[in-house]
Amino acid sequence: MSNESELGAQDLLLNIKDLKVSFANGTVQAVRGIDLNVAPGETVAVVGESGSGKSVTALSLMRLVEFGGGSIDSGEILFRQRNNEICDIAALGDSAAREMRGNDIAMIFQEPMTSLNPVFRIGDQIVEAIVTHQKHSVADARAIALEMLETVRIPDAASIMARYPHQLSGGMRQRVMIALALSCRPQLLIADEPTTALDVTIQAQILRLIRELQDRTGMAVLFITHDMGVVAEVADRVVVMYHGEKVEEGAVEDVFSAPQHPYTKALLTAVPRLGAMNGTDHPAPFSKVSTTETEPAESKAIAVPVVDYDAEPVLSVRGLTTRFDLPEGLLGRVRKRVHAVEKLDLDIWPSETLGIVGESGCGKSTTGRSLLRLVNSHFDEMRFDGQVINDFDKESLMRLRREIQFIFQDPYASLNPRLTVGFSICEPMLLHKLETRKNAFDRAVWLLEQVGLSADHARRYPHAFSGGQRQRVAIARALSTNPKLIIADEAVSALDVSIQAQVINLMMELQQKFGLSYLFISHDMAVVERISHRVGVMFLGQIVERGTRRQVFENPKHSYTQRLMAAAPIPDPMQRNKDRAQITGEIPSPIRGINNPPHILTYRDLGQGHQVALE
Amino acid sequence: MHLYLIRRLLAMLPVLWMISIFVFLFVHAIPGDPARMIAGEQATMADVEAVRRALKLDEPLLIQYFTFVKNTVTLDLGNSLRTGESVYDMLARAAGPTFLLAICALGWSVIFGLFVGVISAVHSGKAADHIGMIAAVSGISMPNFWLGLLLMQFFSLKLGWAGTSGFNSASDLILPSLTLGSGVAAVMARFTRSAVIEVVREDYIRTARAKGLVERIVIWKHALRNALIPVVTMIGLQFGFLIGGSIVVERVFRWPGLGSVLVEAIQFRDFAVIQAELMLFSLQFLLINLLVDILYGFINPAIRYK
Repeated sequence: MSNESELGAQDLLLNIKDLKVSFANGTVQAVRGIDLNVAPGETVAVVGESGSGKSVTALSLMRLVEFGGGSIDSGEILFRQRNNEICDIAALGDSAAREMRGNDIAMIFQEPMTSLNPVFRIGDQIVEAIVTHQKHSVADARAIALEMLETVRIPDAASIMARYPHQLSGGMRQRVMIALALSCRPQLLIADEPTTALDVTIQAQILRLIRELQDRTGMAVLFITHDMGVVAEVADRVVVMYHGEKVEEGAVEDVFSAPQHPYTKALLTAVPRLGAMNGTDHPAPFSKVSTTETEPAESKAIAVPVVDYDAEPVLSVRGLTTRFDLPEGLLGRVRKRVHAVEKLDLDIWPSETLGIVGESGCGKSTTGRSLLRLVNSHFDEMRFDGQVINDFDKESLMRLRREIQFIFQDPYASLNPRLTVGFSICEPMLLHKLETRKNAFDRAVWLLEQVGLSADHARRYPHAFSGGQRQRVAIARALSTNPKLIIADEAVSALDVSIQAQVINLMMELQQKFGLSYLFISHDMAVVERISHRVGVMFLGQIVERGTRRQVFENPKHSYTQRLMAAAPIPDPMQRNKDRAQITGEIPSPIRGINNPPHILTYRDLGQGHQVALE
Repeated sequence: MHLYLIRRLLAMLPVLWMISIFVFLFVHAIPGDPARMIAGEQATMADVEAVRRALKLDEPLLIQYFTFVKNTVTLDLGNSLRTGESVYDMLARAAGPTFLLAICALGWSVIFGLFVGVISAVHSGKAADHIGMIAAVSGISMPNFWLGLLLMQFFSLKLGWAGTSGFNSASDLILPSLTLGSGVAAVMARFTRSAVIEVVREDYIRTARAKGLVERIVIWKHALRNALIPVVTMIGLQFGFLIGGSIVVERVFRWPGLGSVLVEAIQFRDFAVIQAELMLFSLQFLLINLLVDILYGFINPAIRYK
């Protein structure tokens, strides 16, 4: 067979030739003829932004794409099976494809929280995969499953076998998914954004685990991701995809040091790099980025506002505290509480960006919500724009909700799909009785222009916009009441990097133009470093370290800050093997017994506002 | 779990109390005078008043309400105004046939509905789906009495395979339960279909396929178990209606069940029977709801109750 000689000569595991995949009966071309090789034991990263066809390629390899309404139109997917026979996956019959799935090729997915069936025990889900493909008794399969769970370093694996998915954290569930994928010892593991939904310290652990398992078993890994930092951490070779085509391919060092294609160059420019801001005092916009036609390219240079720290802070809070009771038992007695935010002090100056960084459950989002009393919170003292806010009486609450606006993470969920974006932008003005209907609409149009959209967008509905455009609409809506402070809660986390860079640049531009302050809440260290004047690192509801961006990022003193910095992937393959602190452990829970209040941190002042919690 | 059960049962008390007020007011708001009915058309005013006093219907409403509550709590449901028979005995006698009929109707319709629903979902948009859903819509649209009469006409009168009325042997269950279950089967099919269509889009179904499981197991094990939550809610609701006694079907087949008892009681303004039966109906509904909530926990451990 010619196939055999070809794969044999090159000693490849996988050889994709001119693969074309389409959806909706050929009307949508998702993959437009790509070629891709994977050698045994190799790690190939496929990078690209949403809609680039990278996940569709992965699903085609598993022949799962058909279940999502796609079809493989042409091309070959040659794969060397365990017995050294070569098959064309694209041409396999349904049952042969099924026997290959999970056996020769296994896959892990982006969403560990939803990828395991909630109604079956962990152990049973792994055993099911083993007995499907291998002639083991259930007892033997259980032994193998247990061994797999131990291999992926799940503590107390025997008891985890009997648990249900909802009893495990996201990181633990992803370990279970990996154990499940490896249970039949595949030669190729496809990892589709496996760490995107995980916290940075958990991500570091999972990436390390995949690498170690690869060393031990010799399997090849096809790593699908949008995150150049992760690519630099794991890949031997990189394939860059754009609009369903392969635009660049090469060894990871070459692609990072000398990208050839303009898209790759733009992508690398847009990647926020932790440490890129070393030696500078002020935030800085990204250099000009334009990779798509749908997003307007910036033309003008963006000035970065300089903050006058002698002025009075626009917002100043002391002792902000938010706790959620967890009632239990017959009478709903409260024995445990979530200490989401605990005695937090915050100061934000005019035109300043204060970054709050931390992992899931640290209370950073609740902090933003607490300020507007979207959750039940209280404080010792609060001043806003020179006025003392004594209590949340209705009037001062309305004023706060006018002068402080929100931008949320998910641009798809935060705009009402049944309302035109023009109306969504007008609504806050009408609600606060700031404008008449006619004037409000005129202002909405003007605001759309300010955020780089055009007047005729006002009459359209959210579904007509891309994710980045929707986030621009959300910003326009936030600006409608002429606020002094905008709370941006993971406002760019759901966006592709090039779009993310554009939105961050827009935010900086608007800050300069309108004298806005931002409370920028994010889990992404590199983005926070880029945009913030000052930074607070949050852990279990309290700030463990705060200071100017330079103080915190160039001279981190608290062990948790150091841990976060060490865990962040660095988009530079040359730094991959630098000595790093081994990161282990789960993120601790903020739930405490009612008689066991948390210790309130005290701080050591390192000068010029750099404060570190005593450990 | 015990705590949960106790809490749920305690929470029923205020609900039942509210229901008792509504039931009492509703029954006394029915136009017509039971004393006149019992005394007969020809009775004099004095006779009617005598009957009224004998039945304690002349007492103030509030006193009558307290008597009703006291009787209900002590399960001494009083006697029928019409026949003088113990209401408890009447209901106990009628509950058996109704329960049996409800179980039979529910049994076949749930199995049939689940099957048609899953098949329709798997082949959604194709011929099998269209046939299944046309049948389901017909089942929902067809009035019970009409279907009952058609079945009776064909199987009993023409073929002579089954009796036409009453409950004398087990085979008498077949036609009424077919009639009663047809609507339920149709609702089940539609519910199951949409639930399964929703579930097969979930990530864990993709995982199940990525494991290399055969499609049969992916659908009937991984998808159906998750799709059961809304379906079980619907089963509970339907069962609640069925064991209340289907008035129409019981009339058509002269079934000696709660539905027939209720119709007669309403005709004769038999307050005691109406009140007791409505309270029983409400209590059944609450208990079935609780049962459904407990079933949720068995189906999906993530909503197991502490």
